[in-house]
Amino acid sequence: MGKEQIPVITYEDVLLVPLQGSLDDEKIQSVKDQLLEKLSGDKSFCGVILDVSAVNVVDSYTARVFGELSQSAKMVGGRCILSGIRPEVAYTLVEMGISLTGLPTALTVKKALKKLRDAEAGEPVNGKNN
Amino acid sequence: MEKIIEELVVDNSDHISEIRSRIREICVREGAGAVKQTKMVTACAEILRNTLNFAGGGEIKIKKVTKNDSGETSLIFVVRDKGPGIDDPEKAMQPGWSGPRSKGLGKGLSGSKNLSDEFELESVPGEGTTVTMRFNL
Repeated sequence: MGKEQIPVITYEDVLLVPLQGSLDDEKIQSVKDQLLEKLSGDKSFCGVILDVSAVNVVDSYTARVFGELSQSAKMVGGRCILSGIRPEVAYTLVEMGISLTGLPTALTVKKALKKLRDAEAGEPVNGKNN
Repeated sequence: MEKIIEELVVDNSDHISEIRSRIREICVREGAGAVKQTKMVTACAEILRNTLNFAGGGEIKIKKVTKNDSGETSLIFVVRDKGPGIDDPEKAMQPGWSGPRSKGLGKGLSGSKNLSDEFELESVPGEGTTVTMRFNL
C-alpha cells in the first residue's frame, strides 16, 4: 500500500499545502515536486501557503526544504508564507539556532492569504499584521 | 534506578518516522509537556537522520533514569552506529558544520545539544559514533 501523500490545494490564485503529522523525506519531496510543477505550469498563481498548524516536529532538514520551496516560489514569481507554526515548534527551532530567514510567517491561513493579497497590491509581505 | 524502555533499529527513513511517533508516545506517558516533547522528538530526529545519512543506520536505546535521593526523572536517548565515525567531533559540534552527505542546515548536532539537558558525542573514526542525550522531566 502506498504512502498517503500531502495534497496541494488550489484556492483561487494561491496554492495551499496543509502539511500534517510526521514529515518524512518522501512526503516533503512529493510536496516540493507538486508545487514546482504547478507553479511552473500555471503563471497565474501569486503564492504558496505552507500550513504547518498540524505539524508537531520541524527538524533542520524540513526547515531547509521550507527555505528551498520559498526560494523556488520566488524564482517563478510567487511568494511563500508559512502559516500556523506551533509555539513549541517555533521555540524548538529558535533553541536549535535555526531561523527561517526570508520565509514570512502568519498565525493562520486566513492571515497568510491576506498577506499574499496585500503583497499583490504592493504592500510588503513581512508587514506588521501577523 | 535505570530502566531500558525501548531499543529500536533505524535503517531507513520510515523507521525515523515510526521512532519519532514512539518517542512522542513515551514522552506523553512520562508526563512531558508539549515543549519538552517537541525538543526530545526533534533532537532524536536530527541524530537519527545523521545516523542514517552517514552510517547507513544504527540503533536507539531509550532509558528512564530516576535518582534515588531526589526522585528526579530523566529520559536518556543513546543513538549508536557503526559507521565511519567523525574525524573531528569538536568541529562537528560547531553550528553550520555539515558532513559530506548532509541534507540539513548544519545545525543537527549543535542544535540537539542546545535542546538537551546533557549531551555527549563519542566517535572513533572507522568504528562508529555514539550520541547520548539526557532530558530532565
